Amino acid sequence: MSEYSGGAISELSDGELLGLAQSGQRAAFEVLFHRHQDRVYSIALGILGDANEARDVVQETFLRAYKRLGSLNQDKGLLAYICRTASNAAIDILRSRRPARTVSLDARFELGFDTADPQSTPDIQVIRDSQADVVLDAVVSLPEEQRLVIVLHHLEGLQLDEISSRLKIPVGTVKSRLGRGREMLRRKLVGRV
Amino acid sequence: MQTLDCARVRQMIAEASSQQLAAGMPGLAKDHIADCAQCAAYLKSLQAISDTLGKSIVPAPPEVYPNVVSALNPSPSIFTRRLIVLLCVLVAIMAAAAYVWHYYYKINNPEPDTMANKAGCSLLSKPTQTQSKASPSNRSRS
Repeated sequence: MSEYSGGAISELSDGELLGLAQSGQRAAFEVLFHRHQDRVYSIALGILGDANEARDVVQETFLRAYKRLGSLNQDKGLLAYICRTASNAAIDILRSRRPARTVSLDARFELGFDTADPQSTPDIQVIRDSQADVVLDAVVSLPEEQRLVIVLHHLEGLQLDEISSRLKIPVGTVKSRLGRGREMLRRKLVGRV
Repeated sequence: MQTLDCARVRQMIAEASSQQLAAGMPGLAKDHIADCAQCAAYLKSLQAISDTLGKSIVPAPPEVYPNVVSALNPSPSIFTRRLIVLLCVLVAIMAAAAYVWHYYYKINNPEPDTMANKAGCSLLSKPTQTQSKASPSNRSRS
């Protein structure tokens, strides 16, 4: 096992780092860890809303990835694998906490989609200027169902049909939860809730 | 009528994927947004939400990586325990080997006493203390 000596290891792609990690170089795994740990943590925190549990999920995710280094494919997205592992682990924890709540079919109409007041430019600027932790706090404060869809779509980057198959709910339900979640989030961020 | 159309369009905007939001919404909604300043503003606000969410990455706690590393490397206490067990096993193996070696050595190299006793031959056995003391007097009588 020879150490990598071809320049800054941190500049290598995920695939190259994975190859080095598979050949036994712990430093390559460390770079991968530091490159993706924040996103993985944010996904777990967004889903769970608990910093300790989110930290445990990150640790578990990277440990699992390390133990399965040999079977990971360099061509396929490592980040996608890590994010999927983390979000699945977080969803499992979420489901083990309590039985899932059911939402009425008309739930999306209870909130409505702000038809009365025009969206002012200052409001949009407030949203754009929001710090990451403020936004994530607002996400965490959303109801579980909306929160999950928002995190999977915006932080993990899943398409709506992928979320549908992951959560085993119809695409229409994914859309309505996404819509409600975004609307609640918008109101929270501009200070209307 | 206009309000209803706006409500439908805003619902479509809220439920659109982030890619559709970024592209300014497809088809009929796009046409409506082009003519409606309020819905256009609503689209902009949800585009801002979508962009902001995508960048909402908070730093992981600093203790995460050390925890992962310590989980990957066995802790000293576990290592020490394993070493002690290994040493105990080695000592047991060595003790067993010494016992076996000693057993076979005795079989292959029996002591003279033992051989004589086993054969029941008194001639080969050493004279007892009483015999050795009596023998000089016997010799003088003769």
